[in-house]
Amino acid sequence: MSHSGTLIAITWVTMEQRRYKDIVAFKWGQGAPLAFHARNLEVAEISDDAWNEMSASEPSLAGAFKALTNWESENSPDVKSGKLSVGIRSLTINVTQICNLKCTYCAAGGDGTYGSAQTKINVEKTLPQLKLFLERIPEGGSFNITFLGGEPLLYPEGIQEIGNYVRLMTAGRDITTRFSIVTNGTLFNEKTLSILRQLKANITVSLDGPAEINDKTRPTRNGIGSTSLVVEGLKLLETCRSDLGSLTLHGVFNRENLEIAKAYEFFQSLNADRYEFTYSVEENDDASNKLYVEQMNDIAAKAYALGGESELRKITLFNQYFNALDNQQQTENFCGSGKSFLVMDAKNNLFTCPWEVGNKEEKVGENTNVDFARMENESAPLIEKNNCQNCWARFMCGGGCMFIHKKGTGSKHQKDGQFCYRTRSLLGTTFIYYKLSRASC
Amino acid sequence: MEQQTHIKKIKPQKPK
Repeated sequence: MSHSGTLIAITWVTMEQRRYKDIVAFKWGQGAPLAFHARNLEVAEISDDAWNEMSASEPSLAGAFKALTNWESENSPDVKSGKLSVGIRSLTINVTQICNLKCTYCAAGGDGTYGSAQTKINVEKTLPQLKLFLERIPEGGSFNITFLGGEPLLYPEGIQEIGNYVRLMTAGRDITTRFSIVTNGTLFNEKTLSILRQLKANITVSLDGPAEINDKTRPTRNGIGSTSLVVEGLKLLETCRSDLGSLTLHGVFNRENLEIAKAYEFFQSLNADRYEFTYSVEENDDASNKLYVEQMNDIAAKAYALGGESELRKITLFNQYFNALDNQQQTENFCGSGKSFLVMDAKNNLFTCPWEVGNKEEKVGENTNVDFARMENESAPLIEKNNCQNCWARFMCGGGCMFIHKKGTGSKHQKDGQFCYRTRSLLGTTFIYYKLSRASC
Repeated sequence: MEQQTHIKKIKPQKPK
């Protein structure tokens, strides 16, 4: 069912929210109330009587109250558990720790080096490390490598050697391998694209919007804007798109730049598969946080008006939430940090998170010495560690980003309220579009 | 059925 052409203005000022155990309901102005079942990940339209029962001090309308309690107590057989088994299936590799840009918000030491510059990862040391992880992947499993830096395309030969080795080691085994790269997009050329094509890599290009914005946030080391280089690179990439995986454009937003609508408009001219709008992990300004949500609601409305569900789902956050609702797939861990996911820096040290590279407390190994026992000890779900048991969003969110929590509260298991606000608000937005895109039972 | 009078579930689209 397509509802393209419909522009929906979500004004949170008029939104009321009510809760009955694991049911949360929303009502926007005079619209029909919409409810969400926190365990079953079901969305439903509810009657005004049921809505009224949710704020009654004691049940008054027997039928409506019974319907509500019946639904709340259901445990859908279609729900898929979000339990995460320990075992490294995803590895981000810093193939360099140098960069040709100097982005204003770089968290890798401000210049891609993490304070410890390394031109190239030592491939001879890296391959035995990879072997260690690959040998532990069971038949039928998967192994995902993301090339990161620094700027990874400053060392394309390293990417090629690592990719070839992983393919060699998994040949003849029932293991799905997937390669991705996060790049600043200034170094696409015949050589680098040839290597990415061989790996059929998924590509994420960092870009914050049109030149008037992006040239300020993402200058070269010499202080020159990088936008024209990226646009030229994307044109070249376009000539071999069918040989590559997905193309995602990724912008970063904070109080200095919250021009998400401008970025969205610019992104649409660049023919990508997905758009990602990331809120700064260190931003703690409450007004900026609320403005971010408003801007995301704004582009959601524009996307839906432009092309209905498929256009909305180009925005990665909404795609992820639609997937979770359609599959009734719970998430118990916002990320697999230290459980299923590690980061290898350019000196072959292993850390639990890209933001934690260089932090000794989050180091879990180096070369072929890996502390697997520590990972087993980290196996409890984040929604338990972060005390999310009473939050209606817990199985859609998975407890949130530990690094954001740590920046906001000082502890990675103490939730950052602004993160929770963004998550719950944009889930509310998702439910509206989900209802518009699906039929009632 | 009274249950459906008050609670109309949105049907998920089982994806490929």
